Amino acid sequence: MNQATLEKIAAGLSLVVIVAATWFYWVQILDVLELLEMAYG
Amino acid sequence: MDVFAFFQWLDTSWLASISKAYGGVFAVVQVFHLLAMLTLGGMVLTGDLRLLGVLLKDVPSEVVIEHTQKWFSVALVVLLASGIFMSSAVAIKLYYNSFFWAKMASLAFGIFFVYTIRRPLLRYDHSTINPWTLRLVAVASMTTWFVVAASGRWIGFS
Repeated sequence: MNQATLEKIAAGLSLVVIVAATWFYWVQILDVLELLEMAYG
Repeated sequence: MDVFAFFQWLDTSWLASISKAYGGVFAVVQVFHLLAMLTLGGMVLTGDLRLLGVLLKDVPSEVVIEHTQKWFSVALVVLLASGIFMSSAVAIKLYYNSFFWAKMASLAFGIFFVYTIRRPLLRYDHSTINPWTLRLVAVASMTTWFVVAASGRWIGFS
C-alpha cells in the first residue's frame, strides 16, 4: 500500500473512531446528568 | 468456533486451577498486568503527544515513535498473557459481562489500528505526512486505548 492511500485510510478511520467515541461518551454524560437531575432536581 | 466452549475450557483449565487456588500468584500476575498497563499507556501518550507537538519537541518524532512502539509491543504481550491468566479465575462470569466484550472489541480494534495503520504510516518520514492526518491518528490512538482502559475498569462496576 502506498503512502497516499495509507494516509487516506488512516485519516478516515481515525475520524470514525473519534466521532464514535465522542458520541458514546456524550451519551454516558447525558445519562449521568439525567441521574443528577432526578436526584437533586 | 464455539466461544462459550472456550470459556468453559478456560474455567476448568490448569490456569484456572492456579488462579483460583493461589491468591498470591494471582496478585503477583495482577501486578505485572498493572505495570504493563502503565507502560502501554505511557508509550501511547508519549508517542501520540509527541505527534501532536505537546511534549519532547526537541526530539524528532520518528525517534520517539520508534522507541515507544518497541516498548508498546513488549507491554502488550505481558498484558495479553497476564490477562488470559486473570480471566481464567472468572471465565464464565466474564463471558456474560457486556463490558468485557466491549473491552475485547476495543482491544482487538486497538491492536488492528496500531499494527496495520499507525505503525506502517509512521514508518514514513513524518515531514512528508499531512500534519492533520498525524494529529487525527494521534487522537484516535489515544481515544482507542482510553476506551480499552475505561471498558476494562467498567467490568468491575457492572
